[in-house]
Amino acid sequence: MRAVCWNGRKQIRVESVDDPHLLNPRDAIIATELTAICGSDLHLYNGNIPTMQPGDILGHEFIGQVVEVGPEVDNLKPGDRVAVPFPIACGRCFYCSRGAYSFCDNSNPNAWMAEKVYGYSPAGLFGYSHMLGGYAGGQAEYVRVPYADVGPVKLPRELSAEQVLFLTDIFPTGFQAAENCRIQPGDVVAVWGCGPVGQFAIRSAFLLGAERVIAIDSVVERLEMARIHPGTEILNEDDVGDVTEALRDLTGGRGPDACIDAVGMEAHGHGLEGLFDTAKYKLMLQNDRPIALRQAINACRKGGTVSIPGVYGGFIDKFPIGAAFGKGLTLKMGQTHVQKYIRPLLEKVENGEIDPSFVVTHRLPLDEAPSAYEMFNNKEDGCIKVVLKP
Amino acid sequence: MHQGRLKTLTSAADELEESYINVGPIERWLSVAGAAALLAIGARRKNAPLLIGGGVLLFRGVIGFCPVYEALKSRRSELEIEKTISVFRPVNEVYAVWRNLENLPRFMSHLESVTAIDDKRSHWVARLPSPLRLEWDAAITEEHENESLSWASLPDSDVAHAGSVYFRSVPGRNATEVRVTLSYRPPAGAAGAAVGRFLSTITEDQIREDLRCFKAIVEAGERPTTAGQPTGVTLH
Repeated sequence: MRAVCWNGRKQIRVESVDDPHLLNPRDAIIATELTAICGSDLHLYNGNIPTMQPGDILGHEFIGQVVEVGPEVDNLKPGDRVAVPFPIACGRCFYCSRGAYSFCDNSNPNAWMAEKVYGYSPAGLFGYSHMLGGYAGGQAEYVRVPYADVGPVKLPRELSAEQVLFLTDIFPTGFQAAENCRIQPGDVVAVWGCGPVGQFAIRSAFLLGAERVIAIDSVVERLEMARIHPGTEILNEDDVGDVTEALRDLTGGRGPDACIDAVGMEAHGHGLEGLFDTAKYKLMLQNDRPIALRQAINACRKGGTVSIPGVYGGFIDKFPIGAAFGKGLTLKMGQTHVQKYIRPLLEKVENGEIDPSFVVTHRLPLDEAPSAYEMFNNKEDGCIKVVLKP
Repeated sequence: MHQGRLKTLTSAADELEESYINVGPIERWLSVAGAAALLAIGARRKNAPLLIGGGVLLFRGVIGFCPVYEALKSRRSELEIEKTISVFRPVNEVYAVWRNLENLPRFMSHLESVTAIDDKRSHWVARLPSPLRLEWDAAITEEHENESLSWASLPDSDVAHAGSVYFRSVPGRNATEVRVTLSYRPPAGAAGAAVGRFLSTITEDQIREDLRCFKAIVEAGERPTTAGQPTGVTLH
C-alpha cells in the first residue's frame, strides 16, 4: 500500500509499504476513505517530537471502511464506515472507565519511554512517535486499529467525508478545550491561534454558551475564517502590539474569563521575547516556545481558566507561575479523550448544529503529502487544513 | 546433531575458562605494571604491605582471577526484586490469575513454561537460548486466598527460587494492588552456565515490564504491540 512516511526533519516521502494485518484479537483493519494533516503533525515534520524513526507512517486523523476484524471485535463488520479516534485506548482500565481515554494505561507498548520523561505514560497515539506507542498512522491506504471494539464509531452514509473526518481529533479537541473553560453565562473566552483546533474551540465555546469569543492570530486568512462565525471578534497581533492590553480594553478592564492556547509549542514570538525564545530553542536550551501560553496566563482574569489544547512536548522557560498563582488561575490541558466526545459531537453534526467541513482549504491526493506538509508548515496559499485522499 | 554437540562442548569450555578469568585484558596489563612498581618500591624500602600489595596485583594480572571481584559477583548474582502494580479488577479475579502458576509465562519473560504437577507442586522451565536448559520443581508454601501467595523451588534445585505476591483491594475502587517479590539464587557451589545466563536476564526493568504486561492481559485481554506492522523502506 501507499503510506506517508517520516524520514527526518522536513523529510516526508510517500512510500510503498506492506499492507497491515491483524496483530491482536481486538484489532481491525480499516481502508482509509479520507485522512488529514493535523497541526500537531507539523511538530513531527519540524523534528520537535523525540523518538521518531525513519520510515514511521504518519497521520492520526482518518475515517474509512472496515475490511477485517479480529475475533474479539463483535460490534463492527467489514463494510462499516467508521471514524477512528486518534488516542488508542483499551476501554477497560481505570482511566478509560472514567472517560479519560487519552490516559489509557494499556495502549502504549513503549510506556517505559514516556515514563522516563513524564513519570507516567499517556495513551498510545496513531503515528505520533515511539514514545507514544510507535503505531503506524492513518496517512495510508490501510490502517491497523487496536481495540477496535472501543474506538471506532460507525458513521451514517449521508454525511460527507469532510463533515465527519474531524470527529477523529480537531473537533473534539476544540470542544474539550472549551469544555475545560467551564463556561458560565456572560463569559468572554479568548482563543490564541486560529488554526483548525482554534477554529473548533471558537465554535465550541459558542455551543457551550459563551457570550463573546475573541480570536487572536497574526495570519489574516485564519482570522477571516474565525470571523465567518457570527459574533466572533478578531484581534490581529500584528496590529495591536500588546495583546494583553487589547484584551483588557475589550473586556471592560477585567480580562477574559477563560483563555485557550490553541497554538502550543511552536508559537511565533514578537520583539525581544520572540528572539529570546527562538535563540534558546535553536541552542536546544528549551524545546517548546510558550509565547501564546505566557500571554494567555497574563491576560486571564483573576480566578479564570487557562485551557491548553495546543501540544507541548518538553520543557519551557519563564513560565509565569507567579501570575498564575497570584490570580488563582485554573490550568487545564492534555490530549483529548476523543472516545468520550465523538458520539455526542457526531449528533451535533447530524442535527446540523455544526458543519466541520468549513475548515478545509486544500483537497489533495495522498501522493502529494510531501508538498502538502511544506505548504501547511509555511502557511502558503492560505492553507489552514489539508485533507488527503488515498 | 553432531555439530550441535560440538557447539555445546565449545561453549562449555568457554564458560569454564570465563569462570575463573574475571579481570579484563587491559586491566591485567595494568595490574602487572602496577605490581612491578609496587614490588620495586617495596623491595627498596623493605616495606611489607607494599610487597604484599604488589604480589596480589601480580597474581591477578598473571592469572587473571581477582578474589575480590569474585566475591562481589556472587553477591550480585543473588537476585531480589520487589515491584508493585495496580490492576483495575476485583481482588479475587487477580488472585486467581496468580494462583494458577501456569499463567506466569504469559507475562514473565524469563519463564518458558510452568506446568502444574498437582495442586501445590509445579514444574518450571526457564526461557533460555538452546542448548542452555534450566528447570526446577517448586511448591506453593503458603496461601491466603485473595491476600497472599508464596512458592519456592524444592531443595537441591539447580536454582533457588522463591516468589511471593501480596494482594490488596483498593478501597472505593474496583482495583487491586499487587506487590510481587521474586528471588533467584545460584545453588551452593559452582553455578553452571545456564544459571549465570538466566540470572542475567532478570532485571528490575524487565520485571516492571512483565508486570505491565500482566496488567494489560488482565485488564484489556491482550498486550499492546506494534511488532509486525508496516514501516517505510528507509534508503540510506
